[in-house]
Amino acid sequence: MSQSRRIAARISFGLATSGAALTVAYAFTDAYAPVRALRFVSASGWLAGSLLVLALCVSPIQHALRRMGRSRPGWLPALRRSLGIAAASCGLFHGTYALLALPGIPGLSLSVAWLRAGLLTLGILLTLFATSFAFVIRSLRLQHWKELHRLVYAAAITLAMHLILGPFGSPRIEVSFLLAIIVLLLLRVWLATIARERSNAD
Amino acid sequence: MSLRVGRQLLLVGLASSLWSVAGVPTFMALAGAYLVAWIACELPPIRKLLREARPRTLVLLAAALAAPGIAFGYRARADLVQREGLLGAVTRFQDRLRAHALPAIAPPLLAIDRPQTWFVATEDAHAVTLFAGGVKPLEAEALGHGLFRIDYDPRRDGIPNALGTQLEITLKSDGRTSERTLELVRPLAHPRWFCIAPDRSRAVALSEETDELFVLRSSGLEKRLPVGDGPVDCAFLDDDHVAVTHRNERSLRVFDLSTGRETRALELSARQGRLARSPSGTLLAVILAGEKAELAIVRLPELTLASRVSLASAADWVAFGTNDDTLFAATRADAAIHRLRANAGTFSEDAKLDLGRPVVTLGRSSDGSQLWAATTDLHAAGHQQLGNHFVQDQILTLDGGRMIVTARRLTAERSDRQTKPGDVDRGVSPMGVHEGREGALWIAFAGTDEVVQVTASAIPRRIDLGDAGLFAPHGVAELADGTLIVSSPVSGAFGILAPDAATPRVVRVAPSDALLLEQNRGALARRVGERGFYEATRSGITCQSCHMHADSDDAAYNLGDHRLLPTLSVRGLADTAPYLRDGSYPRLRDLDDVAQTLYRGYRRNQAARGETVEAFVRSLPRRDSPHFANERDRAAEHRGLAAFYKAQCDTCHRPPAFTDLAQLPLRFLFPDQAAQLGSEEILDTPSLLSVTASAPYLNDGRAKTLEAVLVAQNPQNRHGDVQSLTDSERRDLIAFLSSL
Repeated sequence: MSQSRRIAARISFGLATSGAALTVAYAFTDAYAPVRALRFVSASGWLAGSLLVLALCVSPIQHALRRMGRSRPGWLPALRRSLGIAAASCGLFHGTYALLALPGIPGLSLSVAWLRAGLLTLGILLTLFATSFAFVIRSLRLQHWKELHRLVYAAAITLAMHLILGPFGSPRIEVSFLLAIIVLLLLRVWLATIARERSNAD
Repeated sequence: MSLRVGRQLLLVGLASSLWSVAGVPTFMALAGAYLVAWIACELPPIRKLLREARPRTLVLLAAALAAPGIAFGYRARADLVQREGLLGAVTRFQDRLRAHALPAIAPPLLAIDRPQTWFVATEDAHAVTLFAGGVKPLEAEALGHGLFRIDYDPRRDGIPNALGTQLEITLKSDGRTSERTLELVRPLAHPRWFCIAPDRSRAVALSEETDELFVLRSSGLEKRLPVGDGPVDCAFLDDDHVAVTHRNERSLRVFDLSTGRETRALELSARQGRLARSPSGTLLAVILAGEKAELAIVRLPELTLASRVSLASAADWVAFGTNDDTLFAATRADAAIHRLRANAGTFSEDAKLDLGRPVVTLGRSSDGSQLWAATTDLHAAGHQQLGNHFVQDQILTLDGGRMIVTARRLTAERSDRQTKPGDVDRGVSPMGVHEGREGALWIAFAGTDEVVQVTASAIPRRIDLGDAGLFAPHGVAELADGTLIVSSPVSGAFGILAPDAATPRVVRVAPSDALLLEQNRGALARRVGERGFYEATRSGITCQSCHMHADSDDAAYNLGDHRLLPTLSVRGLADTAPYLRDGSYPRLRDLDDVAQTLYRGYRRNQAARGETVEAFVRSLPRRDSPHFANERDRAAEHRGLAAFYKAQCDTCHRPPAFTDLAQLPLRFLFPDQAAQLGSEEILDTPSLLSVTASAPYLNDGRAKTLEAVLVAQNPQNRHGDVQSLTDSERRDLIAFLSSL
């Protein structure tokens, strides 16, 4: 593993583990098992979502740094990948725990819109997770994995649907999350367009 | 244009095309199509093609491939929106946002016609005051845990001076002010059933919403008198004096119609219901629907309380039999008619006739030997009516002496107006039954805007009222000279039909539609919605059929899955999206689809029917809050709130609406029930406001009492941590819930 990847992995791991510790602490403040399970699912979901949003922040930061003419840190490109992996891992934990610990959720996950949106988000993230490793790309002889990984924006949209349509959590935080995702998507498109125009001009 | 962008666009185009081929309008299918398209583009031959293609060719190809997908998406957009739960998502989200924005107030409605109670949830404030223009500042009572209660009585505290249907209020909590909006309900006059003078010279109707009494003669409206708060029913004591019961005050009052003044009053209790005068005129029976279900027997002419008779559940209708010793009470909860006999001056039940569905309206023959009851079905107790959405309007003739049904007349029928075979367009939702002169029976049909005269020999005489603008008639009365008087609460009008006239003369006691259109469109929308609520579909079912009197018939129906589920009340629904037990309807207006499809639509075309019915239903205040009429044990309620938090009821039943507007799987809360059912269901968290009025409880009505909800139906302790409560805490919790 290169130095930059190592730094990125450490940052992501640090964020994920401290988030996980907070999640466990939050859940275990409650002794009543059903509420504890709900808290655990909810907090782990927020953690996964937050990591995904952080991963989405990386590209705009890179573009912005380039636009400002400043050099970007070497670990920044690797950070997007490792944050994505952390988001998918936490999402997997969130989904698995919800399916196992909340009775009734497995049977409803395809029929209830917001559960389906969550499942779709998780499915996309896991697909991206599986194709995030060099050896997988090499062994499958994938050439255009970037096109596949653009599905992360679809995952962000379905995550927003999962949050907004899902009846748990604070609506204000959900709106903030939704706005953050929309801003990041717009920023991504805008900065990429500018970068393309500049490279065409060059 | 770079090759990379061209390739990306081609991928999107191919995915779009595949999506249209799959024909499944969901985002999951679209993502799957993208994945398949990506895999296809990774295949070596295609990869080679893409590498050698010019970017412009790829873009053109992408556009061609995307076209069917775009067309499919456009065509299936409504389906997509519905399947992805986006339909009404804004409404749902707004309701949640309002519930979470502290200080939050619930229910979000102020009706100026009745006392009411709000709950305010704060972030641990110490004091809360509500300010609204025209209303004196309302100090809230602190209940603890940042929860407050505000009692409002329009007669005591003033009426808001705002126009329109929205009221801006200010909540001041610990010096911090927050603006909130309430739905303002300023009801229009709603005259319903009549009581008729012994000499049939005049009839009297009441408007519970506007606290008025209307005296009508053949010549028209004779008088319009103010009475007490929430008049419900009346009975002539003699040709000039009328006794009036009231919903919102404790007094039974007697008014002199010639002077228009109150002459006497008797303190009973609040939440009085209908009343009946005995054949000899020496007794009045008054329904009391307060904390205890009772009948008050009042001695006349002294107007003193003779006795109180306890009932198992509150009665809707009461009538005397052939003499003063026989009394009939129709109760909604058990859908039965109870006969009570006097023994040594005390009435007690001696017979019961199960109907299977509650009495919508009750009429009595002049000699008391017969009763006429309108219902939506007839079946014995214990028999399960499993017909899908089964409603069969009928008038039952009852022999009070033998307590049997002697005749059963199905009323819904078809006429030459029908547009499709099997449709019914007559005789839907009988709402008023009255014995006219010479024993003829008059029936008012709210669903089909008509009154019908039924005699033993002649063909029924039918009078259409819709053309005269008298929609959903409730009351009908025939005066001594043969003049027919009809009331239309939804039009705020009476119809007076002289014996020789073909069309009724309309007497308005509320603004006309045209005036409302100019002055208050919101009120007009509610009025039109109220008409829609009563209007019959082609299948002969109306909203009223099950949500009787804009509430609930407390019966149980098979809604298509061979289970009987209790009818939900339609009151107090504002800002509680989504709706129905599973939260499958994000907006009330979307339920119009059920009427348009399952019930085969309406005969009359009307734009925005769903929206207007929604406006009407949103304006219905919740069922009466019980503590208004009775003594409250404040200490127990405060302890009960602590128990409410201790058992973590607030996790889902979040104050102030006592719902978090969320849904949980049935299996999560009630694993045993889900295992028994063998299928997965999701349950919308119901509000606990007016919870005692919504018995039986839980999703299928399996808990008869709140105690059963907490204990017997919660064996795994997943529906609240009730096992952490002591017995006395549980009792306090029930006291608190009852005070909501």
